[in-house]
Amino acid sequence: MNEKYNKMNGWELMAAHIKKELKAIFSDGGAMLILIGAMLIYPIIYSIGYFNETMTELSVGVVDLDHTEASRKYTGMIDASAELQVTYQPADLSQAENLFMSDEISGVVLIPKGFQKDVLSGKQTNVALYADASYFLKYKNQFTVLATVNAYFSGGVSVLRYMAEGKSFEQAKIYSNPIDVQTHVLYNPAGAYGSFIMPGLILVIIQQTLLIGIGLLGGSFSESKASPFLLPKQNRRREIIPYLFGKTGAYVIISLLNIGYGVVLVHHWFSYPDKANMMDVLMLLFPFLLAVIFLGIGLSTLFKHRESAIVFMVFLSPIALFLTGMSWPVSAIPDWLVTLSKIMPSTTVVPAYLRLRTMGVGLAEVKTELFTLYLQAGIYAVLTTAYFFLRVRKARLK
Amino acid sequence: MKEERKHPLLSVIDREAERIKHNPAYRFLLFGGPLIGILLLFFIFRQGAVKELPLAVVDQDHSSLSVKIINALNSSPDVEVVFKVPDLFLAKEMLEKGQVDAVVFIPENLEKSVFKGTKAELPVYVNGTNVLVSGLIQRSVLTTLRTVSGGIQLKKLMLTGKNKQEAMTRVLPINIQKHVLFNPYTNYSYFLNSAMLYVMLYLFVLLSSIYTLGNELKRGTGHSLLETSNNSVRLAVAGKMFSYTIIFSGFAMLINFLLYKMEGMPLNGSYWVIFVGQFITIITYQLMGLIFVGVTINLRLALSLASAYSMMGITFSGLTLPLEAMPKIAQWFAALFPFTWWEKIMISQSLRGAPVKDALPYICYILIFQLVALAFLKVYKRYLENPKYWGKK
Repeated sequence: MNEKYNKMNGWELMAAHIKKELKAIFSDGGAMLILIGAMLIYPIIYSIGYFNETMTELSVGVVDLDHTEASRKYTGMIDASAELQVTYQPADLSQAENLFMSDEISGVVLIPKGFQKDVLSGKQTNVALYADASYFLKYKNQFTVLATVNAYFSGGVSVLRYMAEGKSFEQAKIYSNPIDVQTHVLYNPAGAYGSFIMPGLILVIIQQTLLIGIGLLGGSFSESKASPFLLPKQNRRREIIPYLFGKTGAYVIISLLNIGYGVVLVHHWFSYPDKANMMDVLMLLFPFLLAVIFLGIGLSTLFKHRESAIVFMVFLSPIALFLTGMSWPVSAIPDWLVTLSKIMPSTTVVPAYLRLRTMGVGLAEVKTELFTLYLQAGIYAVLTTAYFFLRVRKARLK
Repeated sequence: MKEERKHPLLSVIDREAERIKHNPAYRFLLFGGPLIGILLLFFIFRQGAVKELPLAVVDQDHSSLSVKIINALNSSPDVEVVFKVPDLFLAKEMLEKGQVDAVVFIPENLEKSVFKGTKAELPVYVNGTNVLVSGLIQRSVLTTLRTVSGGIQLKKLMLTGKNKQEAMTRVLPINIQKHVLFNPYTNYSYFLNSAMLYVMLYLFVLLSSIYTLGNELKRGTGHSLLETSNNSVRLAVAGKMFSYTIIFSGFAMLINFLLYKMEGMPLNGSYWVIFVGQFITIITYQLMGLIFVGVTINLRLALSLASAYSMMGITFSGLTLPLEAMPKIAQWFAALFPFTWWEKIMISQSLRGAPVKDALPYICYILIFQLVALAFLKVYKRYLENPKYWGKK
């Protein structure tokens, strides 16, 4: 057996290792579940959860103490928004409170008595919003809708008053709003949640399943496993590089399947934003994969038992996600933690990837990140190789 | 054999302590892991509200109005003007490189048009890639610029001879009084932080339970375990779980301390409900270890499935996107995670200050998971006894 391998050159050894690793992956249920199963299921389940993309028709109650044409119009404007729906019109605030406590409505708008009279006679009037802020998105929607409705309604009132003073409609419009601020939300104008979170999340899933899967298949020096080397002890030094690259090659092949699925198909099925040139995306993902795989191989050497990979690494998955700045802006994370987070390739790749795919920039705009990823891959490769050389030498001297 | 035998429950507890002492993986699951996870998350969300998002301003007007706009933007709490560039192309490049999150374009002759009373547009371009960031920027920039605009309107009205009161009414005919209920700081951090810290805790509870239950099968030590527990699988499981329950309850109190004492999160309801709720949820996740081990009879597969299950629990707890916004099928799916119900207890008690009776149904739902798990006790005993099920990788 050994004779056959002894005659092989580096390339042949590498090919042998690619084959060996792939065989190991496909004959291990746990590893298949993590490396392929999880990758197939997660994006779909998450995408279904986020399928509606935006929150629509959140129930609110309007307490109308005025009962006039103006107050009804105001209520109607709230109801007409896509985000809110006026499901109840309680008679007073205490009735509204009961509805609120039993979770029937998530906010209350109070229109005071004398609303129309004040509006028509040119007095300032108030509208009160009682919004539940314990769920952040619900609060944000209620506040934004009411602010918009109010701005339009007030604008109309103001225009009418200028016109009463003899200004033309056009003039009145300009006078009541001297600077016309126009917001243009670029790249994700609908503010859709799925389109925002899924593309980056898929990369984090690719990273975490790779790290855990590689560890699960066994550290190369784990005591519960036979040596992964094909050559006898004294010749192993020349096998280290082919071994490392063979192993890496096997995981690159697996990842290409996952990329085809997560980065191409899932995007297509759920119509996530895709403004990028696919070649640019692959150019960015290649160093990312290398960095993740080398890191995974390096880390796997630390685990004594194969299941330890799960024990030690699963808890990092949500943390890795938050550190990419998707669900939580990087500007709010302490600096030392931002520096530390650079250990994870996902921290670097996700913002760059989103710029490519959602904003549609070219590869030139992400060259800093591209460079960082290659650097990362290089560092992890060198560290892992050095560690392997040490171990092999130690084993030979024994 | 000793003359006075210890109670089998105590013997199992001792036996488990020995195992914890000799395997670093146990120690990581029990001490290092939860501690690192909880502290990292705590520091990520520490600062509370997000602040100072970078803006670029393209100033082609070079007027006192443009200076005023820039100053107003700088003094608003959420954004900061980090670049002033001469043209829109440069600004666009910065937006694409991710150096700024929004661009405010001040066109030539803005000041002139404003004071002459002709149409004056002020475009703002916001990067919508991150929904959270773009929401904050829109709110902050729009409020600031509307205030500037309102100020100009006010000044002009007063020049035409109106008094301040009259002018103010014209600028702002209807005022919104905001009453923010239950989370007066509108702090997203309280919300995310409280949920994520418990995600971390329950993840380790579940994994450690599977690890220790599954290891008995993997190592084929089932007979020794049953011998120690006097052949009672109930005592065996209770004894194995005991030290974990105590230690994880300790971590739950650490989380309580971090949230309520360090972060100053409001506690409007009953602390006892929260305490009892987290205790019950810990035991539930421990017992659910039996389900995972019972179904797979394979330590590694059980751990993989449990990780997947825990990670999905985050999405479907309504933490990131409220459950009401999800399709019906996703809402049903969400019921399959004790964490969903725990999250409801936490928010209703801590932030909303709901009456105690509101928490009772949620606690009952969590207890159902325990019942299901207890049904697996017999199965587990069969595995412990029969070497056929041992040594599975």
